[in-house]
Amino acid sequence: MDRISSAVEPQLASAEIPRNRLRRKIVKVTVSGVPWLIISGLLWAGLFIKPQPVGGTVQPPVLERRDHFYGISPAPGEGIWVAGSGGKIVAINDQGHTKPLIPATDQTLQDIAVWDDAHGVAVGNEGVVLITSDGGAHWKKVSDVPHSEVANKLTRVRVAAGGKAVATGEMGALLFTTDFGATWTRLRNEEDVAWNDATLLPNGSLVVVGEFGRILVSPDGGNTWQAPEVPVQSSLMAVAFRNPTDGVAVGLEGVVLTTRDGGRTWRQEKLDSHAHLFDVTWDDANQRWLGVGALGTWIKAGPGASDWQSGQLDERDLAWHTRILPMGKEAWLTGANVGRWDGTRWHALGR
Amino acid sequence: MIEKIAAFCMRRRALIAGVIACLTLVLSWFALRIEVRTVFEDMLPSRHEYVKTHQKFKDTFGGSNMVTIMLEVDKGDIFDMEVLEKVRALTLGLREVSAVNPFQITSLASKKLKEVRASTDGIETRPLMWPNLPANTEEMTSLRQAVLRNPLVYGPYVSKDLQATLITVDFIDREVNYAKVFEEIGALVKKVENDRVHVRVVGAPILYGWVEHYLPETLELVAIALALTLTMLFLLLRTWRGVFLPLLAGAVSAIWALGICNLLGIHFEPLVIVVAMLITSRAVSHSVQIVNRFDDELEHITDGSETSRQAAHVALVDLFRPGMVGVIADAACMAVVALSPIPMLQKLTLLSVVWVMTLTISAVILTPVLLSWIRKPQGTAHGLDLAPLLRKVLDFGLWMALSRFRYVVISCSLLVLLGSGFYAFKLKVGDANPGSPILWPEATYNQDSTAINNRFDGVDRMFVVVGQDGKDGLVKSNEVLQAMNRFQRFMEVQPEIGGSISIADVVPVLNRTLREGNPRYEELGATATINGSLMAILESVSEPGDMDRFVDGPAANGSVTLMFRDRQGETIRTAMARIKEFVAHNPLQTGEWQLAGGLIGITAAMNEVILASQIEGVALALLVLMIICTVVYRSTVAGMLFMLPVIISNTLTFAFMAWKGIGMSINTVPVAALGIGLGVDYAFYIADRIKEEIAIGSTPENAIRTALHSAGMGVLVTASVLILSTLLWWASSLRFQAEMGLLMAIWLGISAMSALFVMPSVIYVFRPDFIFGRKTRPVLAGIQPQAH
Repeated sequence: MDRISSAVEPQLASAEIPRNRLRRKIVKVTVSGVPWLIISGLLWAGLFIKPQPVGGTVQPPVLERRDHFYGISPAPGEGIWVAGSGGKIVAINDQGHTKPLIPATDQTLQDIAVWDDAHGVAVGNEGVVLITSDGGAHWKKVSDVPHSEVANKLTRVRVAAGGKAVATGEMGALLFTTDFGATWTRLRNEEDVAWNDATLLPNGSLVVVGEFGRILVSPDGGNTWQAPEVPVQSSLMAVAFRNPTDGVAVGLEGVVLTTRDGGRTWRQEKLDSHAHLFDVTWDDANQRWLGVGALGTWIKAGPGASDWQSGQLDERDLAWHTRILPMGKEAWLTGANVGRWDGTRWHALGR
Repeated sequence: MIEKIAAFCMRRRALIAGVIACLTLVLSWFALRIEVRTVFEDMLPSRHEYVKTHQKFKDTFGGSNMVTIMLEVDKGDIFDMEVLEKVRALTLGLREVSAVNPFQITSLASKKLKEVRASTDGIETRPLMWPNLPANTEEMTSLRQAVLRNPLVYGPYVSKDLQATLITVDFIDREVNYAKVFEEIGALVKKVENDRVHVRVVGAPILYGWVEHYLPETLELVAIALALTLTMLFLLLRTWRGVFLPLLAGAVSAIWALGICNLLGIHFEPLVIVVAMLITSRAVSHSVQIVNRFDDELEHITDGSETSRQAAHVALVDLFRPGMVGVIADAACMAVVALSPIPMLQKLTLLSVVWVMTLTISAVILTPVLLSWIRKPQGTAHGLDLAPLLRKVLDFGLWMALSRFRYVVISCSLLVLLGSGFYAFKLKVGDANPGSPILWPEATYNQDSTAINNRFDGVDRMFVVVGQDGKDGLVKSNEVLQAMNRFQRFMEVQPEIGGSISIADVVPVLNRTLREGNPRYEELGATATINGSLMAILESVSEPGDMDRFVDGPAANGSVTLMFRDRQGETIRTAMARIKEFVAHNPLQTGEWQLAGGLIGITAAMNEVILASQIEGVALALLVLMIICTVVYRSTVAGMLFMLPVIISNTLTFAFMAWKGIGMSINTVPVAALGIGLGVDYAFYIADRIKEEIAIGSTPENAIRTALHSAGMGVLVTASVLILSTLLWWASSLRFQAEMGLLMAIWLGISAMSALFVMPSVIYVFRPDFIFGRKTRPVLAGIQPQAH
C-alpha cells in the first residue's frame, strides 16, 4: 500500500512502544485511505451534483408598466388617490411617493371620489362599487348594487355634500346614493346607451352626458328629465360646471360644448384638435377650464369657455389620459400613465 | 518497453520519418479543405426541454436567427419621405437575402403591420404602408396617426419618440450562412445609410458574421504569435533545432488533426481558434522539452560520430513517460467535455482529442527521431546567452524548495488555494455583461445593440408557448387569453424585460377600436363570449399569416414573446425562475405552458446545461487525471500530488474569471476543460525528472537541483514563450479571443509557477514513495550507463 514516505518509517518502527505502533497504523490507514476517499468523492460529485439555476427576486413596482389608472381623486389629508387596472388603488403624496392601498377587488376600477377625510367610493368593471369609511385604510365591496343582465361597467362616480353620489355606466346605468355609498338606487331604467359622466349641481339639478352625443338634465335630482338638443353626434365623455349655470362637456373627435343656462342649451366651441377628449374640469384656483384626451392632448380656456387652446403634454409622451385633477398651481393627470402638468412641463411618474 | 520503442524508433528512423512525412502530405490535402464556419444548430442541447419547444415553434413564432434593423434620425421624425423610402427599400431588399424567410419580414412597409378600423361600414384592416408610400402630407399625417393609435406598432416597431423604426427579419435556420447574410445585409444597409439616417443592425447572423469578418485578423494574430514564439525560442535556446523542431511538431499535429477531422466530417469553428492555439502550444512545449533534454545529454556525451543519435535516444526514453502521460491526461480531461449534450462541444472535443493525440507522434516521437540526424550538435547559432538569467530564476525555485522557506511556500499555496477556491464560487454561468461578450463593448455590434435597446423594448427575444396540440382554437379561449395577460404583466415587472407581446395584446386594441377608441375598454373582454366574438372579428378581418406571430394555424398554440434588454446570465436565470414560478401558481385547466424558444430561450437552455455539468466536468476531469497518475506511477499518492497544481490553476483561473466578469459559457467551457490537462504537464516533467535522478542514486537535494535545471529550464522557456505569445491575443478585435488569450496566459503562468516553485517543495517535504521509494526498483535506472 502507499505511504507518504518510507523515509520516516524506520524512526517510527524503531520505537517499539505500542502507542507509537498504533499511531503508525493510523497514519498508514489514513494515508492509504485519503486518495480513495478523494476518488470516490470526485466520482460522486461528478455523477450526482447537478447545480440548479437560482434566479434573483424581483419586487413589482407600485405603478406597473401595464397599469392603467382611469380614476383620480384628492386623498384625505394630502396628495391623491388613483384607481385602475385589477382593482389597484394607489396613494400618491405631493412628493410623488406611491403607496398601494389594500385591494378589495380584482376588477378594474374606473373612477374614485371622496366626500371627506373618512368617506370615499370607487366604481369599476362588472358594476363593482367599493366604499371606505376610515380614510382608505379598508375598502368594502358593496353588495346589492343594481345590476343589468347585459353589461355593467361603471365609468364615473361624482360625489356631493351630504353623502350623495351618482355613478354612470353601461346600459343606461345612473346609480344614486345618499348614505356614502352604502345603498344605491337607479335614477333611470335600463336602456342601451352608456352614460359617461354626470354632475350634481349645488342647486340639486343633475346633468348627464353619454354616447351618441346624448345629454340629460334633471332639475330635481333625478325625478324628471329633459333632453336638450345637442349639436353633435359623437359620444360625450365628461361634463363639468363652474357654477350652477356655466358648464362644459367634451367628447370624441375634439368636441367641446358649452352651456350658460345650467345645461338647457348647448353650443359647440371651436378647437383646432380632433383628438378624442376624455375629461374636462374647472380649475378654480387658476380660473381656467382644463381638459385631457388621447395622444397626450390637453385643452384649456378662460372662464368664458370660448377661447379654447389645445396642445400636447410632451412631444415624447403621447399617452391617453382619462382624468385631470387641478391641485394648486399644477394638475394631476391619469390614464395610460400618471403625472403632473404645470401648464408647460409634464412630469410622468414611475416610468 | 519504453526502451524497446526508443530503440526501434532510432533503428528505423528513416522509415518512421518517411511514413510521417507521407501521412502529413496526404492529410494536408484534407486539412486544407476543412470547412470553417459557425453552425448555430450545433450549439443547441437538442434534448433540453426549451430547445425542443424552440425547434417545434421557431418557424411560426420566430427563430433564434432574427435580425433587427433600426433606422434612426437625429432630427425630426421618421414620418418623412426619405426615411420611409429607405424603410421600404430595405424591406423589399431583404427578400433577396439568402435563407430569408419571406413570411417573417416585418416593418412599416410590410403587409404585416396593419391597422384595424371600425367605421359605419363595418370593420376593416389595412396595411399601414403597403404597397405604397404616403403620397401627400395628408396621407403622411394619417399614417402618423395610425401608428400612434396602434400599441402593437407604436412602441414595438416605431420608437416612442418617433425617431426610429425597426425592421425585423427571420431566417430559415437550416439554410442560413452567417458570412453570406452578413455581407448581403451589409450591402443593403450601405445603400440606404447617409448622414441623416443611421442604420443599426443586430442579431445572431450579424454577430457571427462579425466573427467571421475578423477571421483574417485572427489569422494574422496566429501568424504573429507563431513568429513571436519562434523568435523567442531562437533567442532562448540559441539553436536552429530549438526553433524548427517545435514548429514542425506543431505544424504536423495541426495538419493531422484538421485532416482527420475533415475525414470525420467535422467543421472548424472560428471561435475556437483559441483552443487550437492552446493545443499547438502543447506540441511546442513537448517538443521544446525534448530538444532541451537532448541539449542536456550532449553535455554529458563525449564527442563522437554517434553523439546525436545517443542523445536523441536518451531524450526519447526519458521523456516518453512524462510526455505520453501529459498528452493522455490532456486528451482524457478534454474528453470529459464530450459528456455535455451540446453538439458543438462534442465535435470540438473530438477535434481536440484527436489533435492532442497526434502530439504522441509529432512531438514525442518525431522530434527525437529528427534530432538524431543533427550533425553539429554542439555550438550555438548566436552569441546572446540568456541561460544565466533563467538559471537565476530556477535557483530561486531551488532555494525555495530546499530552504526552510518551503514550509512558507506550502502554506501560502494552501491559502491561495482556499482563497481562490472560495472566490471561484462567484463564477457565473452565462454572459456577465450586457451586449455580446464575444465582442468589445465599443464594437459596432454592441454599440448598435445598445442603441436599439435604448429606443425600443429590447432586441433579444424569447417566446413561451401556451396551448396544446390537437385542441384547435384553445388560444381563443377566455382562460388562455386571461392567463397570457397575467403572465405578461407578471414578467414585465423584471426591469431587464423591456416588454412583451401576444395575441392577448391584440384583443384589447380591437376591443377599444370597436368602442370608438375609448381607452376604458382597452382590456380583454370580461367573459368568454365577448372574447370569443372579439377573436372571431379579428379572424374575419385578418388575412392568412397575419396572426402567425401570435398563434399557430389552428389556434391550438399561442406565443408570448418577451423582449430582453440584455442577455446576461443573471437576467435569464431570473426570468426563467419567474416563468416557472408563474406556471406553478397558475395551472391551466386545458393546455399547458411550454418553455421556451427564441434566442433567449435557447441561451437559457445552454446556460442550464453548462451550469448542471460544471461540477461534473471539473470533478470527472480531476478523477480521470488522478486515475491516470495512479496507474502510471502505480501510486494513489501520485494522483493526489499531481492534482495539486491542477487545482491551484483551476481555482485561480476561475477566480480570475469571476473577478473580471467573464462568464462560463459555451465558448469558455472547452478552454477551461483543456486547462485541467494543461495544468499538470509541467509538473509531470519536474516530478518525473526528480524520480529519475533519485532512481540512479542522487540525494533528494541533488535530484531536485538537476530536475529544476534541466526539466525546469524547459518549463521556464516554453512557459515564458507561450505566455508572451498568448498575451498577443489581447490585441484581438474579438473580445472573447482576447479574454481567452489572457486566461490561457494566466493558466500557463500559474501552472508553470506551481511546477517550478510549489511542486519541488511539496515533494521535498512529503517525500512520496513513488518518487523516493527504495522498495520499488528504479524503472529506468539501467538505461543510461554512459551518462554518468
